[in-house]
Formats: sequence, C-alpha cells, structure tokens
Amino acid sequence: MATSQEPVIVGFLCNWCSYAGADSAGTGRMVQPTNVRIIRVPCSGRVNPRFILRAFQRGADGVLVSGCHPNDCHYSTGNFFARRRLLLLKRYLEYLGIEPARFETHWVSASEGQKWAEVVRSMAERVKALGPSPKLPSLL
Amino acid sequence: MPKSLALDPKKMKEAEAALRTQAAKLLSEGTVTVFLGHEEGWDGLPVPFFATTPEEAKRLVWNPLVAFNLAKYLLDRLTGEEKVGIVVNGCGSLALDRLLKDRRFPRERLFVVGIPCTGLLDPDKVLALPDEARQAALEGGKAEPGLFLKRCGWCDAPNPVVADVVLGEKVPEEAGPQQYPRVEEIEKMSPAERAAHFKTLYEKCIRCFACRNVCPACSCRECSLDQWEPLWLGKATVPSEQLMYHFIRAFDVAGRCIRCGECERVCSVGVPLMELNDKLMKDITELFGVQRPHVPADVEPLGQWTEGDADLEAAH
Ligand code: SF4
Ligand code: SF4
Repeated sequence: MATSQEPVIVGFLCNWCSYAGADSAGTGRMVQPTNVRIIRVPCSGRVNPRFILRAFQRGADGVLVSGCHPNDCHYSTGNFFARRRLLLLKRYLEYLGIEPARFETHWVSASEGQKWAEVVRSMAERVKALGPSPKLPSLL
Repeated sequence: MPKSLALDPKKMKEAEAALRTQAAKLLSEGTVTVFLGHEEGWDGLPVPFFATTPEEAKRLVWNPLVAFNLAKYLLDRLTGEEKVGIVVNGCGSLALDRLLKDRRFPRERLFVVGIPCTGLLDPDKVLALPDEARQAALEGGKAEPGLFLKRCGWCDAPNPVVADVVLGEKVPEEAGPQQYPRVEEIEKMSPAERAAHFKTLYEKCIRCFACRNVCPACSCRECSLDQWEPLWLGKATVPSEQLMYHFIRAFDVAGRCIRCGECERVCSVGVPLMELNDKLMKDITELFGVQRPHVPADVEPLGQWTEGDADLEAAH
C-alpha cells in the first residue's frame, strides 16, 4: 500500500462518536486530507491490539483509534478499558521495534467534525514526516 | 535471588512423607477421588501423576525437580462433580489461583495441599550434570544458583497463597519490587536493533504451542489461535505469523501472567519468551501502579480502569 508518497492511515472509529464526528466533518464540507481509511467498530473497546499489528503488517503507515471522550462512551466504560489497553500497547509496539509515533488514539465526539478534521490533518502531517512505514514482517 | 533460596532436601523428604500420608488419607476417606501430584518418571525426573487410590498415593514424590505446573491439568477435569486434590508450592499456588481468579475451576471441587518452597532446580540442567554433582545437588542440597529454576530467582511468594492444609513450616518471604534487568537492556537498544533482536527470537519458533499450553493464564476452552474462521493467525511459519503469534500470546496474558517462566522453560528451541512477558509486567507497574502484577488479584489490571489513567491523546 505504501508505495506512493501519500501515507495510508487506518482509522478504527467507534460507531457512536468518532464515526459520526467524521461524518459531520464530511457533511460540513470541511477540508481534510484523504489519508485515513476508516473502519467502523462498535466501540474503541472493541479494538483488539492484533487489529493494529495486522494493519501495520499489511502496509499501513499509521494507525488511529478514535472513540468517545472518557465518560461519554455509549457503553459507559468501553473507552476507559481501551485507554488502559492501548496505553500498554503503545509501549509494547515501541519495544518490539515498531515506531510508536505511528500509532495514535483520539477522542472525537459526534458533534466534533472540526476536531476530526484537525486530527486527520495533524496526524497525516506527522506520519508523512516519518516517511513510509518500514516493512514489518509480512506476507505481502 | 531471595535469601530463602537454600535447597533443603531433608525438609523436602519430610514433606514427601507427609504428602503421601495426606493424599492417602484424602483418597481413603473419599474427600477427593483423584489427587494430582508427581511420580518418578523413567529418567528419574518427576512427571505429573494422578493418584486414585491410597495405594497409588505412595508413589507421589516431592523433590527439587517437581517443576511442572499441575494446575493446568485441572482443566481436563472440568466436567463432573468429583473433588480433586492437588499439591502446590508457592508458584504452583499462583498458577492455581490464576485459574481460580479467572473462574476456570470451582474452588469447592478442590482440596489443596500446600508445601512452602525452598526453591526448585531446573530439571534439564540437573540431568546434564555428572552423576556426583547431581547427587550432591539433589541429596546434599549443594546447588549453584545457576541450577535453580529461573523463576526462583525472582520469587517473592514461596508460601502457597491457596491451601486447605499446609505441610511444613512457612519459609521467610522477601517482597521487594520485581526486577526486570533483561527488559531494561533491551529498552536501551535502538528501535532497529530491537526489531532485529525480536526477529531472531520469533524466527526460531516452530509454533508447537507448548508455551501456550503450559501457561496457567492461557486457559480458554477455544483458543482464537486455533480458529480457522476467522483466521486470526495464519498457519504457515512465515515471519508475519511468527510475530503475530508472539505478539498475541504475550499481550493476551498481560496483567494475568504469574511470572512462572514455564513458557520459556518448556520451549524446545530456546525462545526467550519472558522478554515479552516481563516487559508488559514492568509497564503495568509503571503505568498503573500495580506493585505485584504477577500475583493474581480479584480484578486483573486490564480488567479495570481509573479516571486518572494517563491519556495517550495528550501525548501527540
Ligand atoms: S514453545 Fe517455543 S517453539 Fe513452541 S510455540 Fe512456544 S516459543 Fe514457539
Ligand atoms: S510466565 Fe509464561 S507460562 Fe507463566 S503465566 Fe506468564 S506467560 Fe504463562
């Protein structure tokens, strides 16, 4: 995937907040880079760390997990569990030699189209600055 | 290495006699229908043994080589009403407690015989010794620190944490913060060096799954790593799947690993699995303030959260 100069970012977005937030950025016609490939999940707590490693293995230059703000989770606490797990994951990725800067988590609510556009813009910039992701051991 | 780590074969002999008596009593009184312990195997090493009669209980052994994790065998007895007896030392009791805290076996169906531990030797290393040295270690208690199981070096729970009856006296415990020297070394490497280092780690692996099978924290009846649909893990031993396997195995026991080192000990090709387990454990202490992450808690560190947990978003 990472053959062109444009980085590919795989985004796991929760159905209730961030996906709707991205939608509102779209319907609000906000200008945003096109680097993020969105995968809708029920909750940020649904994101199994292995999804993230797989995304990198299959050529993602960056991975983004975005969910409801803490205390706003549709399932009350899913994002709190996710926050702990992903915090640990970030260090684990770094330890395994995978650049941790390529992995980010954000909280974007359904009404925050503006914030979503900003998240995409700034992350795309940061990932672009890192260059293409070094190829992880991969089948591809 | 804890100071209490002074092999005491005499004490172990006494414990062995007491264990046989205790198991025979439990079996003859009908308190349990089967007793999990060890017996002597064909090469002199203890092997797991299921005693079902008082007569068979005489075959039970307790010596410096009883390294096997017996708790995992309970999963073979999940169905039925029978009560099961089991003998555990310190780390054995952590493994048992892991299964209990994961609600994998009902406590009411267990009778636990605990034996305070003065350290165990690595069976592979002992077998490789010349006869005299082996005898000196096993019978005279003269064992170099390097002969002990790795886990004895960081053990802070030599007394069983779960037991219905304890045979022998409590041994002194030294609880200090756990040390992770190897992880610290790896952390100092550059990212490229680390990637190369772990590549050699998982390239060795033949994916026999022994490390998963022995682990008391890996006890799901259906493991996602065995599934074909969805195929979480490809079956080919290619680099991507090797990395994925080790990534998943260690992360899925994060916060529940008891630091028994069995995964590393049973690996036939010498994959240093503790380098991954220990990293996660070290970070759990640093990030969430869990002081003894290897000791099973009512709620595991990743099964809870606080409002004050650090937030990654702030870091970008
Ligand atoms: S025991 Fe060793 S070879 Fe077998 S799956 Fe585990 S790491 Fe791989
Ligand atoms: S040390 Fe290995 S075998 Fe023991 S609990 Fe941890 S992961 Fe499982």
